[in-house]
Amino acid sequence: MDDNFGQEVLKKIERDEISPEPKWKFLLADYIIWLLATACLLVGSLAVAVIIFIIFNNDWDLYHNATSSFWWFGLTSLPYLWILLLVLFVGLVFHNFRHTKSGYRYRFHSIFIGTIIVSVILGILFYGIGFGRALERALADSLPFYERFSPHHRLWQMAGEGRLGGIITTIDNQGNIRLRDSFGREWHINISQVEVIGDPNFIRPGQRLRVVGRQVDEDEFEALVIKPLFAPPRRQLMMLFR
Amino acid sequence: MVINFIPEGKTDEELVQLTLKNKEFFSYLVNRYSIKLSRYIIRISGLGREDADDLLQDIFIKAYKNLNNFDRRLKFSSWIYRIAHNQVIDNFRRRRVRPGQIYWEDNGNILVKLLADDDVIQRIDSQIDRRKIYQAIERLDYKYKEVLELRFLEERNYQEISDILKKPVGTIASLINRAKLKLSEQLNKS
Repeated sequence: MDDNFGQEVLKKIERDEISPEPKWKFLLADYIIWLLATACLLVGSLAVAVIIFIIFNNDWDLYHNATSSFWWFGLTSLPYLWILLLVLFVGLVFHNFRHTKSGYRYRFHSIFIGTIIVSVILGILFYGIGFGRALERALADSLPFYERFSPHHRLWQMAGEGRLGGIITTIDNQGNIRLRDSFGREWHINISQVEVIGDPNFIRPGQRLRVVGRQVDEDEFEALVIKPLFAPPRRQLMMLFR
Repeated sequence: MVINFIPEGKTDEELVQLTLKNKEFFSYLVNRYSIKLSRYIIRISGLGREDADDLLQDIFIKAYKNLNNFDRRLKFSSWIYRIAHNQVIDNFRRRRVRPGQIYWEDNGNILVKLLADDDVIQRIDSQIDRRKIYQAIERLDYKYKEVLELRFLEERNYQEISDILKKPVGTIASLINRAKLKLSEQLNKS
């Protein structure tokens, strides 16, 4: 090697007019990575909030109408879509964190466990302020296929098996209900022998219901038990700390 | 032009700051690391002297371009070795060659260091033929050879190796331990 390799390198720098990249470019790249990691962490935490909301508001008290096993009911009605979303975003947090300047210093399991812990803590917080409910409802209201593909909703799209879920469109003078299910099909619900779980005031147009009973005609359902789809927000918070 | 300047009194990090104000100072950093890095590149890439010098020039140019990205939590030496390591790996990719051999010159020091290193001495008979040890090292996976090279030839500590290879310190410690274990297994077999 040439004794003055430094001068050779300098000559090349001058000849090719090379200069150091500005600091802001590196800072910007760093901020973007951190921003992406934080955004993914927040989305993951929202997924946790929805998972908690769905689990706490699952129809545990009506499980025997769906299946004979409590555990089987739990397994079949878990919010897999949200769990998948959580796993995906935990993976993205991991990926982004590893690409920060000092991300390589942490071992896989430290980042993974750390991300899960922070997501759960933030998720509980988001659930407490009602984000879990708001997000689940917003998706159910705006995406027609959301309920059709969500296991905890799908269980209630089986009128033939005595389970029906939907939104109250009208209530007639006799107190009978018209209900629209997630496929847009209108049902006439006979509530003459019904047992109401929860506050009866929830039976009003626009409310979402679960109905247990039997299908008596093509679009007619005789209700034995009705309950609101989800507990009111205040009760949810109490359920969390009970 | 830099006049009346004594680079020996300046740390690498100070030279980086000076270079950002005046590029002439960069030559001191280059001269401080060119021989060490050249030896390192030749060992891990197997390139000839001329190709290694070209690669070395690319490494310094890349370092110069990225000076504003130098992370002051690291030693400059770790940072420049990281660039060298990545550049060698890129070079392997460009040539579509898998990194394989590390060229351990027949230098008794490495064996002394390796054999003197805590538990390896208990597993390896120190009278074993030097050639056999080199052959055993050659049979190790590249990831093991790479950490042994940085630990025993470049004499880097675990934190520095972690910063160069961008792996957690714990992973580096496991790699070195496994490398030593595999080396003693190889030697026992032979």
